[in-house]
Amino acid sequence: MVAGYVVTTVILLVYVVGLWRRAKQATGDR
Amino acid sequence: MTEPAGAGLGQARALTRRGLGISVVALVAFAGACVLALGFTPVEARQGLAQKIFYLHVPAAWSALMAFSLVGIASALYLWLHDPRLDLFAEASAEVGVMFSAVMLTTGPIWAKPIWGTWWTWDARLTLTLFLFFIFVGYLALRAAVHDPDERARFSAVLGIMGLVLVPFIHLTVYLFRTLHPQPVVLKPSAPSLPWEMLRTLMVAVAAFTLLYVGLVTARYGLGLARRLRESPDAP
Amino acid sequence: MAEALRLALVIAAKDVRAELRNRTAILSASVFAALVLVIFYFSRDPTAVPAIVLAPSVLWVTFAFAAIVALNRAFTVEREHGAIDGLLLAPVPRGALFLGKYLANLAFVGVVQAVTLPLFVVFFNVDLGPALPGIIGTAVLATVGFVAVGTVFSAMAVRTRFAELMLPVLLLPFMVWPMRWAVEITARLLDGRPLSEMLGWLRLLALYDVVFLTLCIMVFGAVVDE
Repeated sequence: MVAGYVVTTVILLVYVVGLWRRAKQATGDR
Repeated sequence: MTEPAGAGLGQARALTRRGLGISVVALVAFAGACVLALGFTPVEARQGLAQKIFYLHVPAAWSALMAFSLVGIASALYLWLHDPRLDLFAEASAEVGVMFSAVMLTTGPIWAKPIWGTWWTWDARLTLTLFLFFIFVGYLALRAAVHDPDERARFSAVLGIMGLVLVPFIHLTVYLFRTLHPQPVVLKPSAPSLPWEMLRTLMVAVAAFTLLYVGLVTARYGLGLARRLRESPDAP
Repeated sequence: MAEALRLALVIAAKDVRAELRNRTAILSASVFAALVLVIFYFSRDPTAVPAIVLAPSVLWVTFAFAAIVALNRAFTVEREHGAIDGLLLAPVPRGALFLGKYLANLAFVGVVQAVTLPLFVVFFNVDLGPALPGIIGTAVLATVGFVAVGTVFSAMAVRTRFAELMLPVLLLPFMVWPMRWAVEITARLLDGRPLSEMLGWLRLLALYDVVFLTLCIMVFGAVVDE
């Protein structure tokens, strides 16, 4: 059960952080 | 309609910033929902602790389904109105939808195994969600493979509409199977009526996930807009 | 309307003639189908499951793969000859253009299926007997639907870099469903079950055909227009 919470958090964080990094790269700043 | 590339990029940057801001708030809400679910919600009698995944799985599925429907609708509207903003929105919603689908497709089996004794079954919801994922992925693959923005928009829109039209057929198939073959008795993961604490926690989780969808799509839209502007500086 | 139909037949005939001159699509798809049958035959455990139990699924998976090969080749050949640009310059209504391509594809896939079925009977030693007309009918019903979707998707896929990969990725989620229904019907046909047991699946096939054929005619213009 806890695995579900961990996996969810990981997926969400990976995507959000990834989006933030792509934004920095694309537009030069955040 | 032309606008100087600088102004467009500024708008794109602002959208991305605002979207990420909303997303951070949503993540905090998500953390709150987790705490609520794990610490302040009664344990379900029949399923025990495993049931708690319900508070993540259901909102994720809801967000994925919403994302998919909006992609389908935006696709149909694009083919009718040819507004490139619809295409940018669809692109954003599809990517965010894939992410929520991933959450849904991982939390589902993790929940199912202790309750049903199996990682997967081919019942209505599972089959539908799996195919939603496949079509989403195909949609993103198609977008990545087409370089001309106008062509990309048109092709994606066609795929989007086809995907939307396919959904009822999936429902009908599963319904037909169900009426022909008696189902084995399984514990249904969603209780017929939830005690108010569980309902409250679920609502908080759904709110967090919906806010996250809004924030992420906004940010991703800004990203797509920036890319589109760099590809063709005089296009809207 | 009649004019559009006539145009469609002209386009279809042109494609079919081009393919008859240079038979690569049909030949490669047929050989591919035969190989798939062989792989299925050798990959099963003969002591565990009798061939007849697997028959419907094997037949339909083979039809599916062969159809994808046929669809891919049909458009790639034309792309290489730049023929479609000429067609687009002429004032051909896009619906007629779709129907023409569609009918030609239907012919290709139909020929491949016609070659596959006897091979299947021979390799798997399956007695189709009284089920044969039903199986052919089911094949027609299912193929009419997924070739429509396949025609649209192959038109898109051929404009991408990894065309051969893109077509199956796009098409399979849409093809699985008519295939599934066809397998259910074929299994019941081979079992000699009454028609009433197949009606639900047959209706789904017919509905799919009507809905997707209409949708594809409507959206094909968006795929080929610049």
